[in-house]
Amino acid sequence: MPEVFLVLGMCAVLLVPFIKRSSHTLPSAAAVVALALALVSAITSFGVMGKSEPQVWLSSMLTIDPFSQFFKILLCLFTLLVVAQWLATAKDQTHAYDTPDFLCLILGAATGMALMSSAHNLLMIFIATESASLPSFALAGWRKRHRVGSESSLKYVLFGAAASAVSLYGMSLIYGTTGTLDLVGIAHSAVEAGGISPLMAVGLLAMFAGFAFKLSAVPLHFWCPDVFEGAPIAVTTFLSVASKGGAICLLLRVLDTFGATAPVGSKMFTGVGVGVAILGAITASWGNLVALHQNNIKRLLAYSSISHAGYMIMAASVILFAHQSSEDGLTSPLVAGSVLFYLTVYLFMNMGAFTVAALVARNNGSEDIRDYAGLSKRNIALSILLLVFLLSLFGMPALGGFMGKVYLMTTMSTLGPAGFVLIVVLGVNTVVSLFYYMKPGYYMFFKDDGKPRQTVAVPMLATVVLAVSVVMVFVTGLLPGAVQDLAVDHARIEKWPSGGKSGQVAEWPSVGEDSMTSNHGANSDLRIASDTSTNDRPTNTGPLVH
Amino acid sequence: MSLQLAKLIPWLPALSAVVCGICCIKRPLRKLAAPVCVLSILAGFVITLGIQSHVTGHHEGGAVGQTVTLFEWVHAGSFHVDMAYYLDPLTIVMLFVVTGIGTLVALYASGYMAGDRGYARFFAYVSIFIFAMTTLVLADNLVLLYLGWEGVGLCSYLLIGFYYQKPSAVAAAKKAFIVNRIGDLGFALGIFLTFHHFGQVTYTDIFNAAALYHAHGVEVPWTVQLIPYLLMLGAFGKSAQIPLYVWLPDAMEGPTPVSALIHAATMVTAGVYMIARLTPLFMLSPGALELVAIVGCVTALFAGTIALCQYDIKRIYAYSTISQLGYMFLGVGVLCTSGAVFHLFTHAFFKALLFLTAGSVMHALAGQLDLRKMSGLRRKMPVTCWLMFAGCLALAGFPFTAGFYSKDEILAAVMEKGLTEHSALYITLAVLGLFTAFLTAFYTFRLWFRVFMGPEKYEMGEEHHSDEDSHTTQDAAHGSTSGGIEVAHHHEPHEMPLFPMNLPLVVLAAGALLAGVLGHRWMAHMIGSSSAAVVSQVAEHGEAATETTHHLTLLPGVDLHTSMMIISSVIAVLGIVLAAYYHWLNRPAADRLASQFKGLVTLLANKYYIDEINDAVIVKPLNLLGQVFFAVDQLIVMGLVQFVGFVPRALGLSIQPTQQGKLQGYGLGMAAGAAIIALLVVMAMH
Repeated sequence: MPEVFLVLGMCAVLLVPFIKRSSHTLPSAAAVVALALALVSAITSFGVMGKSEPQVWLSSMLTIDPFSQFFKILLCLFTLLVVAQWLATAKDQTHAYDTPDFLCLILGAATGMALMSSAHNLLMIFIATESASLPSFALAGWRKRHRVGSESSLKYVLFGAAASAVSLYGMSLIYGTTGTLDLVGIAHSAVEAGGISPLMAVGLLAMFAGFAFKLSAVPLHFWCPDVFEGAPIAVTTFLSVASKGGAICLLLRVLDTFGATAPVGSKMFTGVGVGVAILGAITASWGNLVALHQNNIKRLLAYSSISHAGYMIMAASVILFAHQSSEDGLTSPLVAGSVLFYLTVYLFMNMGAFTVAALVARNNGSEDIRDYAGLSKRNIALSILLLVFLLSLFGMPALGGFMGKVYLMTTMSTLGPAGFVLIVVLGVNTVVSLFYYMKPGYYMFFKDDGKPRQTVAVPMLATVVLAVSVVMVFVTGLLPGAVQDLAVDHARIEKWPSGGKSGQVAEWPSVGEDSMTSNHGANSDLRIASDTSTNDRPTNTGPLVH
Repeated sequence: MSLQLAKLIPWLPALSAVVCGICCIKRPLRKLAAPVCVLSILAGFVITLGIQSHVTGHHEGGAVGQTVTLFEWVHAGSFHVDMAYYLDPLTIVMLFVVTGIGTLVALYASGYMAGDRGYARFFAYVSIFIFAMTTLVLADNLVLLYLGWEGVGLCSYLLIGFYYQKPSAVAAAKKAFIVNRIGDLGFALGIFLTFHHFGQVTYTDIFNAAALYHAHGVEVPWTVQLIPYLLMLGAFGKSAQIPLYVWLPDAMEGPTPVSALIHAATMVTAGVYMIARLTPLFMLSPGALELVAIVGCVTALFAGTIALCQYDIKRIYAYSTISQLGYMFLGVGVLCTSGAVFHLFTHAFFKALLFLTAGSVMHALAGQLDLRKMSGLRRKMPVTCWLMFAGCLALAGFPFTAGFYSKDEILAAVMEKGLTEHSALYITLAVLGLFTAFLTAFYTFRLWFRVFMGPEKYEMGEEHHSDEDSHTTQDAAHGSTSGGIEVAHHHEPHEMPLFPMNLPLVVLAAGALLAGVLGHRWMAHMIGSSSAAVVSQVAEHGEAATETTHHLTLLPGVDLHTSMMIISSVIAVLGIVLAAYYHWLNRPAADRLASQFKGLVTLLANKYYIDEINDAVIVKPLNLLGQVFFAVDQLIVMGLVQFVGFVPRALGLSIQPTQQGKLQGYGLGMAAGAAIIALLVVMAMH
């Protein structure tokens, strides 16, 4: 359980100042050790997965399956890199008294995000989301005397609170209609009822609004650029990947549970899927279009992260249909795997781009892209690296971002004509994004306003972070097979937790067997048979009955 | 020594390339580049020496090589391509050539290039070249071969354009690259077709499949017959045969050691190697072999005639290289692979020697290459004079030199084929080959007599080595002159120092004179037990063929081979004597002769106007087409692109105000957005 180590790490960073006051080193070391232990624990538990049954923790609150462990590996690695980046670029601007607080908040947020990927119960989902959010609010306002930072942090808190409230309200509606908090139970009672009741639809909409807030999906994205601009760059980096990653994992798990539960051929959850797909498409396009006119590198990358979240949401919507489109449900791991792969790539390229931005900002004292003019003359290596990361974000072949998009498109293509629409949206957005990704490149290489600026110094730790990022961007771009194998073949979402039978849970087996048998029927018979079975039961597609 | 060591042969130079690359950046280290490069190639040579007994000792008569796998590369379904090396005697011969000549040339270059600004860069390129060339030679499948093939092409491009400040060098590099692309297109298509038909690209699989055709005597499908024609195109490009030869003379813009190593001894023979390697595949298509022989012979004659009337020393050698490569293709064309590879082997020695001595002359005369502006240099440069003499003898095919044995073996094989099959075509080819041999002897010694004999007279060239580190200190230490110091002594041609420049040449000269006597049996044995051996057909008709051969003769009292030897000796001596008369003893007579055939001489001096014809027929129309496309692009595509760029910008600008920073606005936006999405879902559902 990596979360255990993360929580222990939180305690440790707060306790070490008692050994030696006002030191950067001790708390950082404690945090790094905790993260490393968490990483090792995630890797070992991922390693033994697949052989054993998935574990269910806290009476079916959490599912520990390869999918969640894969995300936790990414998360721990990423948090390590963020800490390294922070130490390299912002340590000297932070008072040593504050270091433990910062690290504690980062670790706390990471714990919440790790829990998000495992959460399997509405209650847990809420707790996980909140424990990821609360430290994030504090982190966003980290620069205490910084006007923009404080303002954006306040906005973040207000919207976060509103989103949480809406989400909680939605969950209570869902509980009210289904009588269970467990995701599988919810899906089953919906199937039993023959569809989603209007009340439950409202509940789902409200709950997804909470997810959308974490994902900064349009129209709940407004906090994102402001917060990204106001927060210190390390926090921005952290939020741009980890927070969205946790939320996309949550979304995938919820959708997968629904999709797996619905009988083959039924269309009862189509509305949810279509909604998520539309949300993704709008998010991706909106983010890209607004990004075109940004001049602040952090705002630009904020909008870029909105659009990348949009790509992932689009692909995630496919998982709802994965169990319908192929008889054996083999597409489901493909969807989850390709989103995880995308997340992996996105992690490293975003990490790299933000790290360069942090270095330049530290040197220039400004985050304006126009101040990148002539950077290639001052530090050619840094310029080339930033170019590589931005090209990867755009989706240049041979770089990770390209392979990520290819896998997302492969995923979408399993949907048929609707998937084609998604692919077109993704393609057009990719083209549009080139315009703004090349903006810093243009200033770096072709525009030199001749203003004297210092050469950009690159601390050792930042070099390590950049090296790891660029190597991984190339590895995922040139040899995507290894990561892809891990993500698709091993990082499965386990659907039927074997343990944790609570009161409501005991009721599903009858329904479960029912749907299992209908699954079997579809497997053994020809495809036509399952189609006719759909026609036999018009109630499935008919008006919502409660 | 273990066969596994063969894995190191390409990778040591690769490592050296990295080291030399570092030397390029760190200027204080640049002197290290040469020793690193030389040692890495030498190590390859030593390893080759060590493993050669393992390779030859393992099998008698069978043509099965051993495979050493480095790692699995591509495994997709039934398609396997491994990073694997195929070792059979042919590989060993080629490795000897590449690493042996490579070591000597690199050693020479360490002196020759001294003082050049791109010293470390040069050796980095050479190291990459050796890496690519050994990969090409060692490859156990067509894909890896292609990889090495493109690798050497790249290095050739880089090294021709080494003096990138010179527009002519850049143009020559581009020309070489583009012409090679044309050939490589055919080569790639050939590989695709091979894969399409045999399902594999590994040599062993291809040989087995080809052997099945031979064994069962079934009709070979025309698509399989097409493969050799496509592969041949690649070979013609790389080995500078008609019609793709035009790049090689221009390639002489590169530094002279490069001309010796890449454009004479090793890379340009890759085409010959490839056909020899794939002999079983080429044998499936008799027409292809015939075409190879004809193209080879015509190229030999064609380039030989051009060489007669050139005045640039290196260009003469370039045309001579094309001509000698033609002989090799003639050899593989008549399935005399051992002769062809033997000629490749000996040619590597004497042509490298000739180029390097030409380099010495050029060096001594500050870049002067014009034959008309030098004469009687034998007193100034005695060692170079006699070294080049040895090379010239071998090239001219003077009896008992290396070139004599190998060239004779090819010509005898052609004549034998012509006589046994009563084929007028092959007899003609043999006669043309003999005539070319005469031309070769003549133009070779024309050059030598012009440069070294006669009254002493020379003009210095224009080249001032732009060396930043002056070498005067080094000169003082040597007590003699070293390379790259024309600024210091502009007036006096000088001999090259023994080490590192003349010593490798002595080794090469020894090879040029003796490789024939010592090597021809070894070579026959080596090639006979490699995949290039002509197995099946000869095995069936072997006895009958040898019997008839004994009856064949051109001269009374001796068999065919001996008579061919005698004829070609006479021809070589005749050529040398004529050259001596016209270009040493009675030079005005040569001018009178030239004025009698004025038209012909102009035609030859202008290389049959091939470059001009190419320009008018191919380059100009293509340029025109390009301009048309460019105009279309500017007018239509550009407009579209601008429009595509404009639309999202305008859209972005119109929705940007939503992000105004006010909480109320954001809240309203969220509510409205959620409502719109809900509405969209409802609409999508109905």
